[in-house]
Parts: sequence; C-alpha cells; structure tokens
Amino acid sequence: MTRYIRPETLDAAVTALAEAGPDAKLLAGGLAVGIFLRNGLITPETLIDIRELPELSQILVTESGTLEIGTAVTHRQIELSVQVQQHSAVISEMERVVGSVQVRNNGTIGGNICHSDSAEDPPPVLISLDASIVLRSVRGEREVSLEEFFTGYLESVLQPDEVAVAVRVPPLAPGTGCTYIKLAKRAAVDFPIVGAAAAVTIDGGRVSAARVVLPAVAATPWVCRSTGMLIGQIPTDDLLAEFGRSVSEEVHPTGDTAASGTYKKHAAGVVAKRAVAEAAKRAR
Amino acid sequence: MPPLRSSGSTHRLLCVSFRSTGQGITPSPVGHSLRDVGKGGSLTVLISTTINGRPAEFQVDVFDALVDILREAGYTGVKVNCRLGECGVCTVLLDGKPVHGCLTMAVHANGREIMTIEGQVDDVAREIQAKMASHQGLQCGYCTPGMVTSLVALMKSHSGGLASVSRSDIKAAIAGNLCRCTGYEQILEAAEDALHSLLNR
Repeated sequence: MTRYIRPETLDAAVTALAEAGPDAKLLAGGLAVGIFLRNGLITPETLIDIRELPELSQILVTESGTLEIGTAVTHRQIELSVQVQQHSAVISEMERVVGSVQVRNNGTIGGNICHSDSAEDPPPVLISLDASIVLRSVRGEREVSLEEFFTGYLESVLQPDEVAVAVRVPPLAPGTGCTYIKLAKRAAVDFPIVGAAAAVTIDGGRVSAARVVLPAVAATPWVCRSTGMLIGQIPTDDLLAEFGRSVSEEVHPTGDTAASGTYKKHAAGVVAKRAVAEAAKRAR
Repeated sequence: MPPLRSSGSTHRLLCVSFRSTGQGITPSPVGHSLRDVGKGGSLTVLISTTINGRPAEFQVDVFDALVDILREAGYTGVKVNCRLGECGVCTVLLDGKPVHGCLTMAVHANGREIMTIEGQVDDVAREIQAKMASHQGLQCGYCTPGMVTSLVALMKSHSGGLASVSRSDIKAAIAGNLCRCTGYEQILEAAEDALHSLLNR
C-alpha cells in the first residue's frame, strides 16, 4: 500500500524522506512519477508530495548575480519569468519548446532534472551555463555541478534521502552568446531527436570560451569535447564545418523510435555547428 | 488500438515494459480507470475541489489521474486517449491554466478550481465555440473540447491582453492538441475570427 504525505515545510519533507527510507518517492509535477506509478513501474511505500512547498517555489537573483530557481517552479513559470528572461534569455527560449503548454504547467524544473532522462531539453542548456543543483538531506546540504549530476540513463548522484531544492545559474561572462537548437518532429511538443545548447564567449573577434552540450545522443547530456578547436580562433564557416564533423565523430548515439543512430550521429554535428554559429553571432 | 508513437525516451521505456509484460496502453472505456494497474494499491486521500464553480469532494487513490475522477463524476466532455500527455484531448483548466487531465495527479486538484468543457459557458468560451462551428474547425470532434479549452486559456490569460495575441501565439497555445482529422487551418481561422469578435465587442 502506498502512503501519501504532503509536508508543509521543506524541513518536514527532508525529515519525512529520511524516515521513510529508500522505498519513498518524491512527487512534484507528477508527469514521470504519475506515468510510472499508474503503470506499475514503481511501487513506492511512501509518496512525499513536495509540489507546493514554498521554499521550492521561488525564482530570485542573488546579490552576486546568480539566478536561483526553486525546484518546484514549473516550466511555464520559468518561460514567463521576467527575471529569467533578463538573466539568461536562453533559458526562456528553451522553455518555450519543453512539451506543450499543458506539460509546462505541470512539469517542474527539479522533476525534469532529477528524472535524469538525457532526452530532456533543460539539462543541456543549464550545463552550458555552468549551472549547479542544490541537494538537501538530514545530513546537510551540498551543491553539485549539473555536469557531474547525471551518471547514467535515469540515474544521477541524487541519494535516496536527498531533496533537490534549487538550480543555480551563475551570471554570464561578458561577451557570451547562448542558444539552444532543437531538432524534433513537433518542436514544441516532442522530445528532441537531437539538439544543441551552446554558450560561446567572443573576445576581440576570437572565441575565448565555448561550451556545447547535446541532449539525446548518450545516456547523459553530452558535453562536446571538440570545442577545444574553437578556442583562440575566429569562428569562420570553415572552422565551424570542421567542428561539426568532429562532433559527429565524437558521439555514438543509439537509434530510438524517433530516428536511427546513424541519422542522430550526423544530425548532432549539424545542429552543434549551427548552435555555435548562432551563439557566436549573439556574442558580438 | 492506435500505434503508440513517441520520440520520448521515458515513453520508450514504457513501451519496452509493456511489451515484456504483455499489457497494452489502450484508451479506457468510459467509467474505467487505471486504478488497479499499480501493484500495491494505495491508501485513499480526500480532496476538495470546485468543478465548474461547484464544490466537489472525492476520495482518490494517489495513483489516480484527474481525468478519470472527472469522467467517473460525469464530466465526459473531457476525453481520454493517449494517457501520456501527447494528444491534449483531456485538457482541463486547473486554476485557469491548461493541463493534461491524464498527467495531473488527482491529489494535486486539492484546493483548486477545475474547469472542464462543460463549464465553458461564458462569452469568451461561447464565441470560440461558435467560431469553431462556423469555420468547421472540427470533423470528428474528439479533439474539440481540449482544443477549445486551450484557446479559452489563451484568450483569458495572455500576458499582453487580447489585442496582443498573434497567430503564432494561437499556434503555441494549441501545439499540445492533436487533431487527427487535420483541421488545423480551420481551427486557426476559427480562433483568429473569435479573437477579432472579442476585440470588437
């Protein structure tokens, strides 16, 4: 029998989770958890509802310029947030293509990240922005870089007694342009076939830093290793074409219902190249 | 049974699981919910809501999706199809915001206002419905309640007000509502015409 509890404070939720042990599940927007529950894929002894917790429902910018988004904030709230738009417009841009309006009104950013499906849109963008996630348990609080958060398909470093409480996005370095390109049959509804989040810093016409992260090509969001060839260079068409080819070579996606592995491998390079070109343009 | 198509890896996982257990995701007949599917069952939870302005209380299972509670209570204007948040036929308003009835946990309706197609009787909703009819924005009609509900939400809550609603806003608002009769052009025309009428009231 599954027990349902709805704590009123974060402290109470953290305590309840520790007491309930590893057979407990946290419930936020209920998209993945709901589908899994109703189809018997998970049978938790305790379901702890954290959707309404006020401590997880804020969007704020700290004095040091870090954007902090509570994990129970919905995709739709992020999409429409003026603070998010002003801090990191690429997050607003990306949120517009996360599922449909209906999905965005229920789904939370914390649930999306903790579900740890590499075919989600937000993690690549957040990793390209060097974001981190704050995890709390009765043992204390820790902050983990999102790049190191994901460990495998539907797996992460999140421990059974930990509640993800906030996503932190540091201020963007001056001269940085960002974008997210998503390739999907229905861009605003489907999961990406492939995609690319890029953050490119231009200094004196040359690339001084570049982060390119791809969804849906590996078990976890893929941080491109080929970006090294861009550093110190002028982002010409020839260089970007070479970069795209190199990205295609470094990824080894498996096929799924949306596309074959061969198609994804090719498309990953094309989308990565386009994302860097657009980010570099925005950086100027 | 329609083929289950999805590019999502969550859903892919489900497909594998269903194949291995020999179960299938089929649209449930009226009155039948997926309550029994979860193995262990659950303790029920009392929720208090209002549906179309009327207070209503339900004893729900934590597994329950809102759409099943609504249909069992007689609100069968809310349709069921994919149960995966792909098609939008189960769209209802929760505190004025469109959500999928199939992916909304029934327990999350506690303390909230639910609006189903049966409650869409004010001027804005009636105008949209009238234009859907006059532009033939429907053929079989199965997507229509969800489609109308998404359009009502857009026209009542667009941040810039009605005057700033564009064709691309309309497309974004109904992006999650599938019409298998391919009546999108007529639906867009109906929405734009309704918008025009509402602006000139």
